Amino acid sequence: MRANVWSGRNTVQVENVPDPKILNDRDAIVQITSTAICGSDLHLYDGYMPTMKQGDILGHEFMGIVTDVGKGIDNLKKGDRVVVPFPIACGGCNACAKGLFASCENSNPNAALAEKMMGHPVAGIFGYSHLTGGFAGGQAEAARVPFADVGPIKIEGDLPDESVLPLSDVLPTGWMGAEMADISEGDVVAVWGAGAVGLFAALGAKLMGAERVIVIDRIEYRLEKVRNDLGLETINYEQTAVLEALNEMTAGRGPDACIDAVGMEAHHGHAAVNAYDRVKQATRMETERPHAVREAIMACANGGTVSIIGVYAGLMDKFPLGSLMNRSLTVRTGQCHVHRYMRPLLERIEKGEFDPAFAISHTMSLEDAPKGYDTFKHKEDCCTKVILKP
Amino acid sequence: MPPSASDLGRPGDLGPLEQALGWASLALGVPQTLAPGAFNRAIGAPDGPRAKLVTVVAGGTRELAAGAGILAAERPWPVRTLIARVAGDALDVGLLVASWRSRPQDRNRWRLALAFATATAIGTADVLALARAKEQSDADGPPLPTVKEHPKRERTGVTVRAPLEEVRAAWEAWDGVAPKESADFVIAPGGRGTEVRVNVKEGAGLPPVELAKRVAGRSFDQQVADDLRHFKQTVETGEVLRSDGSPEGPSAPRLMTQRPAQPVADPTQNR
Repeated sequence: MRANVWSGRNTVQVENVPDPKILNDRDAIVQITSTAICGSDLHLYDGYMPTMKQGDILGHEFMGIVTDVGKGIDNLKKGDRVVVPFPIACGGCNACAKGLFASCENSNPNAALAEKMMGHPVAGIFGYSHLTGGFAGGQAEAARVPFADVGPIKIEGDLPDESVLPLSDVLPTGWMGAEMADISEGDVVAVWGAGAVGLFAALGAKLMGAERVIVIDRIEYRLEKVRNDLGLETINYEQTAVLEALNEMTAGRGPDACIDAVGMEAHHGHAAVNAYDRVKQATRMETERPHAVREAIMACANGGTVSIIGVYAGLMDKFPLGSLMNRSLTVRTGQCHVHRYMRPLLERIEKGEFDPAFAISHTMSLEDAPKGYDTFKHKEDCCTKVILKP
Repeated sequence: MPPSASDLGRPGDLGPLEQALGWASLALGVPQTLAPGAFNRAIGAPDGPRAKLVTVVAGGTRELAAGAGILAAERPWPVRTLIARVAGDALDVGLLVASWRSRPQDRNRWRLALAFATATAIGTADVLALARAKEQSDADGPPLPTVKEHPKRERTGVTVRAPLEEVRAAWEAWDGVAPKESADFVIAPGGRGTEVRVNVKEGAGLPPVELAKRVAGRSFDQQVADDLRHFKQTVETGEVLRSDGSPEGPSAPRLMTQRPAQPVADPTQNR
């Protein structure tokens, strides 16, 4: 089959690779109809996520048609149309029992590696380095899906792929970011990042009852999408001092909740500050470029909540712990426990409450994956989200 | 009589002379390391490539190490560092004498003379500080033993989400690496299943052999950890999960030799 593989920093290529096969009884094979490039794939593409290997098939957002199932699967059959959540979860461990699917204790064969780096293991993830298990990803014509009785959700209706594919990651991830912000009546919520996750975090915050939602980015066409498609307020941090603007907008209180939907490759409006962390990250003295989370903490109202849904890999410096501690802030974070959110969000989409397809800007052939990564990385052609069709 | 460590109010604090020598070491070490040519010219010594190399290696690096030794590593009585400093002072004096004799016509010889006087004064301070530190250190008695390495753990455990009797029965039928008879089973609190603990200690071999085994992922505790993961997965999910990078499932040796994350041409390979 054809698959998009990582072949070094800033390089992906579409190659012939062996077809996936059933390896475990609870596996399914899915013939992929749509797969997306995620903002977090850019961390792999840019070479900042450790433990990548040349030849790794990328992609953790995908959907398609079931073509084969292992003998342990009785909830799916050939021909079913499914969306696959990006974390792999067994459904049988204590973490899964608590709904913490992205912390599954049994889905990462390389758990010992993750334990060394993070203290305790993390769940397996499709196409997302060997730290998360070394699973082939979904930017391919087909993929093997372990624990297929727990993860994939069947799509019974005739909703187009574009409306349901975001259930695999970006929609639940943004939604969980908003949910962790613990929004109550009258709350002002600020969201850093107007990529797909930021858009869905802002949408979630609005639907959860926030009084005002303010989205911060530097890419003007993305901020325009926030204003036009979601009717929310924006700040361009290259043109405005964010902390001052947020203070003015909230009459000095600061936002009650701040959502970081940017993660480890944030930019800073000031060139010197940006260069400082850029150099430290490039020389591997820290894995993160954490401007968004620093600013989110500094901006947050006393007693407020900072929700971190952007991806981080390891270590950062100049973390404003004093601000967190002295001002009684709460930090909530986690890889998205996608399984929890797929069913309720699918129901909202089916009811027509919203259509997540608005976040998608580009549809390309799988063969054009290298061009898709390049366009997405460099924010060309008003790109917010690229879908690949095998 | 110099104050003892406890007299200073803060056990482990340095006396003023030791503090001054520590900071003087750093103050000399930084220019000797970063600008050896300029340093040599300032004291009237030769500043050719060889002389600069001698200044960096025999001067700067040594002074920085001595500063760190006095100020950070060897509180409150830096006896060993001061012995090293006295030896270094002798070296400095020797190098200055060699420089003096190598340039009889140099009108900058007065700088060398000044450097010689300074080195002699510092050397005298070092000898005095050493004598005092040695006396005080002997009076304090032998230092308290410090743990250089945590003792190796003897047991390891895993929590399995299943009732105790079920886990015990599965363990009886389990054909693994962990010493079967060493296992004990406890009901985990709050309905979390069963805690299983086993021995991970075995007779240690030669240190280089043990190190090689660990690097290759084949030390006994690594094998037991893999085995417990396989056991937990089998009880909780029915089987051991395989990935493209780790086709055998959890395996410490495989961590070093991951396959690319793409399907194996023949899935029976590498099992």
